[in-house]
Amino acid sequence: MRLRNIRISLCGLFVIGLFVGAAGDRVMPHAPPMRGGFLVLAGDFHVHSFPGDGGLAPWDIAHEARRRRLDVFALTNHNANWSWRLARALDRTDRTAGVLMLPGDEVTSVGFHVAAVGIDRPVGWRGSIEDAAAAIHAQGGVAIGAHPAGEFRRTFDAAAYRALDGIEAAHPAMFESERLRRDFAEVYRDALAAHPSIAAIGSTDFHTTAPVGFCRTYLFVRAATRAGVLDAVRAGRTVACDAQGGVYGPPELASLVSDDCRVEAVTPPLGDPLVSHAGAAIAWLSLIALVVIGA
Amino acid sequence: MSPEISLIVAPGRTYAALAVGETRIGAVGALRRPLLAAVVLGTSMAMSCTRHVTPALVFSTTLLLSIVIIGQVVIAIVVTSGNDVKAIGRARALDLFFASHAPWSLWLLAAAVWVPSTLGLPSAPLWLAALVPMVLTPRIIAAYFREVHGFDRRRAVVRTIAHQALTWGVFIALFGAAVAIWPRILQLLS
Repeated sequence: MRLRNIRISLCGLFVIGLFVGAAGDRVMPHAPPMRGGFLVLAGDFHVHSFPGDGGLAPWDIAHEARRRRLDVFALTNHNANWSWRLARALDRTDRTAGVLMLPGDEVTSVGFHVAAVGIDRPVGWRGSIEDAAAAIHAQGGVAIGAHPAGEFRRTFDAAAYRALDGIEAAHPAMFESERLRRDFAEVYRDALAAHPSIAAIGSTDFHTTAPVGFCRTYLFVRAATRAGVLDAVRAGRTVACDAQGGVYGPPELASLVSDDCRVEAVTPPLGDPLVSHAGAAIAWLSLIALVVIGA
Repeated sequence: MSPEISLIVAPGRTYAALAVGETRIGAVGALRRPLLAAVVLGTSMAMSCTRHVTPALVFSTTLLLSIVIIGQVVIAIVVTSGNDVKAIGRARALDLFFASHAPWSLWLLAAAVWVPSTLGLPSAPLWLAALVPMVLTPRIIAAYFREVHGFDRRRAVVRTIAHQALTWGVFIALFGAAVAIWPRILQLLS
C-alpha cells in the first residue's frame, strides 16, 4: 500500500513537472521586421520529423520553431513525405504557432542529398543532381544542395550549382571538424562562381538533438507566404547564419541581419528558461524514480 | 529492491519469485508497465528534441511513439504464444515480460539529458552506454522464459534469440526505411 502511494505521488509529480514546463513556455506569434524594403523571416529548410527519422511530429516542430524564433520551416524526410501527409490529414499544416510549415523531402541519392522544398510529392532519387532539381522545379519547389561536404562534396560541380536554387552554407556538420568547415566554405565559394545568385542556406538537419534553428536562413520576402518564401530562395535573397553567429550571403543583405545572427547564437528560447528547466527536471526525476521502484 | 532493479542484478531469482509471488491481474493491470515504457520514450524524445516538456508536447510524442511499444507488445505476444502460463495468466505474463524494460528505460532517460550536439557533448559515450541495456535485456528475457514459462535453458535461449531477432529486425527495417538506407548502401558499395 505504501509503495502504491509513492507511485501515485510520483505520477502526480510527473504531471506537475509538465505543467511547470508549460508555465515557462511563453510562445507568441510575432511580426517579422522590415529591412531593406523586405520582410525578414527566419527559416530552417532541412528538418526531419515523425513519422520518419525525426523525433517530433510536424505540429510539435512548429511550436518548437516558434520558441526558437523561426517563422518558417520545411519538412524534409528522406525520399518520403509521410509526416506532411499526416499533418495535412489532421489539418495541422496551417501556421501552427504562427509558423509557416512547408512540404518537401530530402532527395537521398547515391553521392548527394538535395533538400526539396515546396513540393507535395517526393522526387525520385535515381539520377543526377540536375535531374532531381528539374523534377523539383516541375512541382514548383526549390532545390537546395544539402550538406555538400565530406563524402558528398565531389558530386557537387558547376552544372549542379547552376541547377540548384540554394546551397547549404551553414550546417551543424561544419563544427565537426576543420576539414568539413573548409569544405562548406569552399563549396559555397565555388557555387557562387558558377551561379552568382544561388541562395545561401543555413539549415539544422534536425533529427532529435541539435535544436531546430541551430543554423538558420534569413529570408528577405515580399510576403510571408509559401510563394513569398520560395521566391526569395529563387532570387537568392537569403543569408545563412551558423550557430556561432557567422553569416554567409550577399554582403548588402548579410549586414542587415548579422546582429540578429550573433544575438541568436547566445539567446535561449522564448519563455522562462529557469521555469522550463525546473519543469523538465521534476518530470525527469519523477520518471527515473518510477522506473526504479517499478510501475 | 524493486522487481525492475532486482531483475537487472539477478534476473533468474527475481523472475522465479515474481512468477509465484502475485495473483492474476487483468488486462488493465498488464498495461501498467507498457504504458510507463511509452511515457518514458515520449518524455525522453521530447526532452532530447526541445530540452523542455509540456503536457501537449509529451502527450503528442508519447502517443506517436507508442507505436514502438505496441510493436514490442505484439512481438512479446508472438514469442510467448503457445506456452502454458495458466498459473499466472496471459496478462500477468505480459506484465512480467515488460519488467525487462528497465535497462532501456534508464538509458533513454539518460540520453534525454545527455543530448549530444556538434557544439556540446559528444555522442560516443551515449552509444557506448547503450551496450549495457543491449547486454542486460537478453539476459533478463532468457530468465523470463526459464522462470515464468518453465523452459529449459536451451529453449529459453532459442526464444530469446527469436525475440531479439524480431525486435532488431523490425527496428532495422523501419529505421532503414526512414533514413532511405538503399541509396546509402549503394553509395557505400560504389
